[in-house]
Amino acid sequence: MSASPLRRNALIALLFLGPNLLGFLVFTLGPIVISLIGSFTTWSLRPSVPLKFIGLQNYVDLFQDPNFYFYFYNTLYLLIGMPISIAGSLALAVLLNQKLKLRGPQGTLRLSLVAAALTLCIAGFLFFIGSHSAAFLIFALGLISSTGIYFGSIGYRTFYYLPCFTAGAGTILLWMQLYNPNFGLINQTLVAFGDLFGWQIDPPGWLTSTKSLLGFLPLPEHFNNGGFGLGAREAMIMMGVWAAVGGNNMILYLAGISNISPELYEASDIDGASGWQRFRFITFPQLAPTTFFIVVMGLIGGLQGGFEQARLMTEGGPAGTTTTLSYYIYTQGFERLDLGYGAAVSWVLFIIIMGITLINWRYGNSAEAE
Amino acid sequence: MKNSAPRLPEKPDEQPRMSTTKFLAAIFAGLLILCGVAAIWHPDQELGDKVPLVWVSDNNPARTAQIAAFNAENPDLSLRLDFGNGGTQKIILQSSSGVGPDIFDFGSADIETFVESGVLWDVTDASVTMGFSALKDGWPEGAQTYTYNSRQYGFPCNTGAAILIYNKNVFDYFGVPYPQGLMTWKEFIDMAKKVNSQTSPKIGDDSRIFAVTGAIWQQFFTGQHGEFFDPDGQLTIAESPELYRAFEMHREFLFTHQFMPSTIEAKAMSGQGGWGSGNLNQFAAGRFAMAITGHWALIAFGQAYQQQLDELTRNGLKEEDIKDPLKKPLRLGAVLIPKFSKLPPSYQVQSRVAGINAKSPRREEALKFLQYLAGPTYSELLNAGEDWLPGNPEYSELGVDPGPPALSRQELQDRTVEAMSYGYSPRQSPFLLTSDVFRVIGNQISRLESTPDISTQALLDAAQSDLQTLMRRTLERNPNLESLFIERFGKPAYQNL
Repeated sequence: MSASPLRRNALIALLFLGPNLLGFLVFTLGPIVISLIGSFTTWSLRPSVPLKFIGLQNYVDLFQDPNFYFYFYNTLYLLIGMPISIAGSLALAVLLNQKLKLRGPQGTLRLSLVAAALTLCIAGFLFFIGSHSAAFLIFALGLISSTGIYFGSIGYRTFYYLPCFTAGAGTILLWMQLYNPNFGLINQTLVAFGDLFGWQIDPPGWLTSTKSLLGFLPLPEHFNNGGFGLGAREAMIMMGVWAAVGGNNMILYLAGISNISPELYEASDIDGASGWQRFRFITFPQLAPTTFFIVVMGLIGGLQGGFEQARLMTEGGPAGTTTTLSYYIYTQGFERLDLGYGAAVSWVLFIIIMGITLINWRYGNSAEAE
Repeated sequence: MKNSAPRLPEKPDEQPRMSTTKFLAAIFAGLLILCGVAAIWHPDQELGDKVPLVWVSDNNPARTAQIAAFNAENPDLSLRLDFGNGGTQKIILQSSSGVGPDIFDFGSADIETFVESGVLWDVTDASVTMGFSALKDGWPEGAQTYTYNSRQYGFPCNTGAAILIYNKNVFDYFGVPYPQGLMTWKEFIDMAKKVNSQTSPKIGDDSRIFAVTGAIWQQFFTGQHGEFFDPDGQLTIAESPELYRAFEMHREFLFTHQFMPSTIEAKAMSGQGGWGSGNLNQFAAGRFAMAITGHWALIAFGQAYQQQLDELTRNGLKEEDIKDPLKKPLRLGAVLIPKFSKLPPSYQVQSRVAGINAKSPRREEALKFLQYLAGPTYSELLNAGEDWLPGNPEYSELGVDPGPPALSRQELQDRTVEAMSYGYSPRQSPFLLTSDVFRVIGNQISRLESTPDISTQALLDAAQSDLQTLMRRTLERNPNLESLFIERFGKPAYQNL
């Protein structure tokens, strides 16, 4: 083959890759390099601050700043939701991988219509007696059930994946309404549940509360510990779990499950294995690479996360309890206009993420191999 | 037996297909052409010879008439409103990168941030030439809301000090006499207790009436003429008796007397939307007896009043037929915010200031807008609506529309003008942004609201410590400020920050 067509192909490839490469250099690599350099300077959006090299001063200030440790604690605290969401995704994927055993297309349609009619009756009755929230809830559940019965697991998969189609800001606004301490569906349900059993339930303040499940610990003074209970951090964790359970992790697990050889299950059937044993000794070990990938990506995403929620729901409050490192970077860079300091925080965050990822690769990979 | 793959039948006369390369190249070329069209087809060309100006402000319904009047007075300019692009960070970033608006509004507490970020144009000299000088034409008590280091950076779209607005219907319902004249806080508490002690009758679902909304720590602090900094610019938060008292009163109002809703209840109310904030709508609906707010709240109250009248009409009722005062359409009165005994009244002046983007290529033309804000046309339009006072005190009574008698528009206007005579703006410091001070103290207030038994001194100490850290960081990065600080307070004070 002569050199000329090769060169021609290379030129064509470069032509098509060029815009992307240019975009990567200008909008990704360039800013990364600039932020690294900037973290060693007095880089600021204030013209009165002269740009000068200050070595590690930003990093020294950062490690002397008690708020940094508080926000890092918040970031780690929000990761509590990660194992719950991974377990939820796995459970959901296993469930959605089941074939629904229904009697033929006619039988399915009939059952679906019966479920729909039943739903309409109950929801209509609840609406009539004035329980509008409960009527809506029953209607939504009934709609999902009857559609799921007709379309089978594909219908359920679509429903569970719906949160991923929704814009993040829209979901956050929805949850803000759900967490409304007086009128939100969650507290209303809790109070109604308490009334049912004659209990006096004092519902959580959710986004307005500094309480946390680790509030019983003797945390440092500046951690703004509001005591034991459910507060803004738990509200964010719950929202995160809801969004993650039926999201991309579920899809990854579904793909992983479909790649498991059916022969393994056939052999286990012959050996008389129970459903749990099939899961414990076949499904879960076979999904180890998928789980490893999800854990690594979840940790990276979790450590970088919390910005959207803090910006839209709480502005980092109450008393800084929902300020994560990513929101702290934003406030330092764009509210205090101190870009150098913000860049230093982001590089420390990068090092933390890199370190945790390397540990994962080192020990996670060997565990997976075993 | 030897297996051989079945041969596909040949496709005679198949048309040559366009190669992937050519297809993608065609898309690329098409996109380039579209970029060219977008660059040539610039919307500004539709304006002809007029110079376009963009004003980032709120979506107050009165803006339409204000903009139309400006455009009529300046036929060579075309001003348009961009209400979705507000926010300090957004404006700073856009303006720094050369794509910001020509004119933008900002609150009094943000002036230092904008000046320090270099996006606000210093109009001191131009304003004298064009007749809208801060010192000559503005309210003297409010000059600090649009000046920084004695330089002028804009002109107010509106200005004023908060007053105490009360809902006559709620007072009638409880049989409590209306507030009269300038009360002390002690007298206010006695009166508010009369309202709160009778809140057992439930109105609607799980609702109750609160004595007041808007009685927050800032009101108690500025009511004592409090300062965050000493005259040299050093922080005085931890040892400020005014701030200590303000925190204590905030706690007392919230938890001891329950005059105002708890954080949880307030959050629930603010989530109920409407033009203006949720608690103002709740006040108009009779869930608060009093509101400490600017008389700009009349925008929300006026809308609520009209809705209430419409509802009466829909139901075929007349106002005089209604016996229950709480079912009557809104009726307002206003007095000055109470004062502390042994202290003269004192209120913080606040402004919505229009400033000019220092990097705007049309900043000279934008100056005409500030001139317009200081002039009679804009002031008259402002007074005809329900907004706060015009920035030029000469026109504070020009064309005031008394509106419906129930809303007592003139009374609210008079009380605001009176409050302005006791107005001031807390001192600024060259070493720290005032917005940082409010943010950090706001954080400690959140702590107080969620942990009522926490000590006030601990909260003040935490705020002081956080702010000193920020101050030290600012000084370390700015040698001029660092020298100034050491010159004023000495090296040991700097090292102890």
